[in-house]
Amino acid sequence: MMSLTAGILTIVLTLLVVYTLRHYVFAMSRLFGRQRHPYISIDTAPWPHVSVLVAAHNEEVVIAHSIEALLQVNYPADRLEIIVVNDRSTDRTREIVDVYAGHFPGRIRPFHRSSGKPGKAAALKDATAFVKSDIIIVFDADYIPGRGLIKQLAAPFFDPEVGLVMGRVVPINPGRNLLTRLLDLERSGGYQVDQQARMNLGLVPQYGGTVGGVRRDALESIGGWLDDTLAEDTDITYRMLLAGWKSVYQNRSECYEEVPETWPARLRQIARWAKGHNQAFYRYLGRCIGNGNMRLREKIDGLLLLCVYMMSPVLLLGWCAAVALFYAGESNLSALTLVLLGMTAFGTIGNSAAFFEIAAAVHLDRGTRRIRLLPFNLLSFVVSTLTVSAATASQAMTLRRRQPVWHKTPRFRSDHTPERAA
Amino acid sequence: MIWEALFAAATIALFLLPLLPGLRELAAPTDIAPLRVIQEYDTDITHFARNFRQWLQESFPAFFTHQPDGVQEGQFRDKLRFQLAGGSAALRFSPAEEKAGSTDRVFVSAAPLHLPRRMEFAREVYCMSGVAAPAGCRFHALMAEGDIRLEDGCSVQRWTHSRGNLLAGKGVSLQGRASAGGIMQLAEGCVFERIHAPHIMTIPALPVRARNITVTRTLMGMLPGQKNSSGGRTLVKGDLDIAMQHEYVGNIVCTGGITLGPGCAIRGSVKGNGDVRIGSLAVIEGSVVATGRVTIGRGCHISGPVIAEEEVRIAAGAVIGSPEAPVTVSAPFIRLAPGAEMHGSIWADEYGIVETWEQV
Repeated sequence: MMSLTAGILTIVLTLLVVYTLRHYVFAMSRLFGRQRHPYISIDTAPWPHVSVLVAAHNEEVVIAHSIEALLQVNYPADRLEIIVVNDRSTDRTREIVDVYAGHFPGRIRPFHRSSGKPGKAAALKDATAFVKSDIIIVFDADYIPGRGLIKQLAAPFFDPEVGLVMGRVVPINPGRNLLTRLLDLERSGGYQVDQQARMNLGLVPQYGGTVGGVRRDALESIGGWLDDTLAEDTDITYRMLLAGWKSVYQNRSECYEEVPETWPARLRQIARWAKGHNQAFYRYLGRCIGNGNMRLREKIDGLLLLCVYMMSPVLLLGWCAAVALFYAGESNLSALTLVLLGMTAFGTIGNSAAFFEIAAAVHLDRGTRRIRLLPFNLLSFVVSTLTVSAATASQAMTLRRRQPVWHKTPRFRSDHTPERAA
Repeated sequence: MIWEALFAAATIALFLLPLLPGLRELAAPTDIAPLRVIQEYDTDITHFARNFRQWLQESFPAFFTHQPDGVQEGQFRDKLRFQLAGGSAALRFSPAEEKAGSTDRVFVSAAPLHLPRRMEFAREVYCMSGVAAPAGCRFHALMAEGDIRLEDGCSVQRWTHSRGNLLAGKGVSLQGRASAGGIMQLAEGCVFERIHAPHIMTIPALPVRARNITVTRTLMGMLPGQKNSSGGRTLVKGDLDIAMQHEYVGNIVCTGGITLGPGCAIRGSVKGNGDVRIGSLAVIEGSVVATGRVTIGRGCHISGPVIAEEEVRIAAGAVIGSPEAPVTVSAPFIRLAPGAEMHGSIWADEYGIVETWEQV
């Protein structure tokens, strides 16, 4: 029994070491490697037709800000249409959108959805059927794009290999409480280091579902949006990758977003991400391994990315195995010693890897005292691990039984002025 | 018991120690502002020039409205000195400035500027007409509503903008941004970083008859090494070599490098994961993208952006973009041969130069 436990622990440690190395490779690439931003310099071009889809479900608090920001962008107006996808809202979202559409006909097109499958993926799927543009750029309703952002997101599509583009999201509300400050640090690590490193190394930058774009021809060729997924972003990343399209990340294409301000909202958000990501895991793990369009490095990174949410229950399993070994006693001292040595080494250096990424990101962002909160990310890490593990377990038990349930992330902004358009 | 308690307390203290700076930051937040996202950033190359003009107009509204004759001098609150030359007045330099060959004043002139040789202007120079800078002048930033002519060896450190034409002689250094509303002409040896104009030409230009050459082509169906064709692009595995005077309709994505023979035509965009070599007189009706180097041969015509992650070389007679559809050429290193023509922006992240280079 103890040998089995030690074996499990060894496997867990091996997996954790792999991810540790991945974190350090990313951080080193970002700190010392060659940075790739091949498309950011494109400022003059025959810009393609772009449709901006703004996904909105009960967004009366924030939708006006998003629309007004999109109306100010410097993209050629005759090549840009803004489609607000109002997905079965029960608040004043529809009214607000219609006011803007009335004042800006031809520029804003409302798409009011009153039936069909719930969820963002289904809404995007229905709305995309009416899009004729070359490029589709997606924003969530709480995002406030800058003037040059649409051009920046459209630019990579001059590369005929690019199917997806992703920009950087920056929390606009980091100072609300401890949670928002921790999420601000996590976002920095995730985008400033993780995503950009993947871009540097020719790996798989993940399309994040907002502040991102997709080539419509490529989307159609892979079967469009799938409406039975909780994470349409992960899903489309992998379907594009399998079909030989590339996803690119643009670190300088930044946009403000609102991060959850309460722990229940955060837990629901991460549970949804975990379930959606794990859906992709079940669907695409085998296909990635056998795919002929992906380069070896893309396969390795793609597989590691697919398994990332699975690592939470694996980590928990490792903790349990370590505790069991510690208290159960082991007659084979040398095997136990080796495993415990490995654990200790990992505990000192390996566990720090993800936090090293965050620290590197704060350094690159020229942050100062916010880095002092880094030890508190351990709290966030433990909470996330438990939440993701619970979500993974519940998902595994109900895998074939029912459709995924979409839980919308609540908005916390307080001012909304639909009267601005008037 | 007391030792256990002490041990527990010491352990707890050890765990809490790393949290102390964070607790202090939580109790008295000092770094909670969102990371700065420049919402107004719009990639406009003339951003600095526009802002400078606006600042001048706000600082000297009477001068801009009436351009009173004569020279006015003064300084701002931060001790920055300026000189305004209105009407037909010429700039005046102090004996110390003439002797040193440099000045740290902001100059604003209504009349055309003819500057002294080898003068260094450590601050901005603005002219409501044209500027003629003789050899060796050095500028921090230069702006003119008329033409700017920079003779051999001049340099601009931060930015320069002309609403008319910008003519740069041999060996002129245009660091930062350089833009023109009309023609930008760069002689051999010019170095640049980011330039923009409706029409950019490197001189000496080719004779007209060297450009207008008709090519007959053979239309291709499939490409060698073609893997699949979907989503509006054809995926080719390995390197792609298209023989001379062949034509293909569609976008090409290659997992290796691409070589297009002389006279080829691609009615779409090309992407090579490696180097992309385009033979002379080829036509690409789209963009050219490479993870390596892009070499564009003599007399080629490229309609879309040219993006390379290593280097772009453009030969004499090549035309990139058009007046109706300007584009961007972007790479860390860019070499333009004399006689090339571009419409739009050229952005060399590291180094751009006008020089003759051998096409292999």
